[in-house]
Amino acid sequence: MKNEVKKLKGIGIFKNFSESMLEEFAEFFSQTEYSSKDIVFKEEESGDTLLVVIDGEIIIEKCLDKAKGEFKTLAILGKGDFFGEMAVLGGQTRFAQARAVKDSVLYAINRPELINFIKKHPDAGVNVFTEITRITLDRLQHTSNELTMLFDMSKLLMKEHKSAPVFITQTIEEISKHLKGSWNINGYIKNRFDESYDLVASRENFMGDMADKNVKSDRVRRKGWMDNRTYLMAFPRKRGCSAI
Amino acid sequence: MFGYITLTSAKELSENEKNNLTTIFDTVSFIVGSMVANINYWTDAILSAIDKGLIDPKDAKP
Repeated sequence: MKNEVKKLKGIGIFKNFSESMLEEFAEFFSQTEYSSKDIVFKEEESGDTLLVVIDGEIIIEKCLDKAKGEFKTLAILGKGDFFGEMAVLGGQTRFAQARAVKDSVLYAINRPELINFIKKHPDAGVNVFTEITRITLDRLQHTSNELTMLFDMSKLLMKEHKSAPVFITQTIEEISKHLKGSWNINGYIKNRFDESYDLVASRENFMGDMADKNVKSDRVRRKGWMDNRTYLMAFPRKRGCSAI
Repeated sequence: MFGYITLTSAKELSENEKNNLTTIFDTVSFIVGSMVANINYWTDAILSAIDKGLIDPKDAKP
């Protein structure tokens, strides 16, 4: 039991729980382990469990095209994060799918047990709901930021663009308006005559270390974080074309 | 690959900050990638049409 209490102690929603409360609360949790790629729950499934990530990484994703298996990632959750609260609090079906991207350990508590515990410990209940509300508001703000950026991007798509470099330049200007903090953003297009990539647009706000200017061509195939500071957006060569 | 954009933060980012940015960057990457592919497709199509004498270069609009 001590081990469970230790794990719960580091979780935001339980931060104001006393040791004895955590011990009592831990009894209601069931621990489940998932391997990478395992589905925790599917979209539109019924469910009444709140899940807490004890270890690993979980992706929350919404299906865009069932036949093609296309999903939009809504959130990436790590140690200490919780999910599934919409089904627990609102009694709704699962809004999106949850999938393990790494081997993960989750704690799950179902709605009746959570409500019973909160009835017994109203003060702790206030803390739990305050934390759930805080995280929900953070997520709402994040979604609003993304929506605003997408709205601006959609205006850009409606304009006429003379070339890919011109479009990349305007995109970089647009992205930079929405990013908090100081960022260097550089855009590259493949040279038609050799295997190199030419810098076509740049917006630099601080003195960089030039590391981002030396992306190896094999690395360009993989979008994502290159380290704790640099994200790489890669534009794959697509066959065919859809009308704009 | 047609191309890529690198976004470098001045400060080191936490896992949580990176996770939050990933969902936005993935979406932007998808949109920009589709648009760049479209622009390149039409540019190639116009250049090919000019080359074959199907359209007058003066009428070609990117």
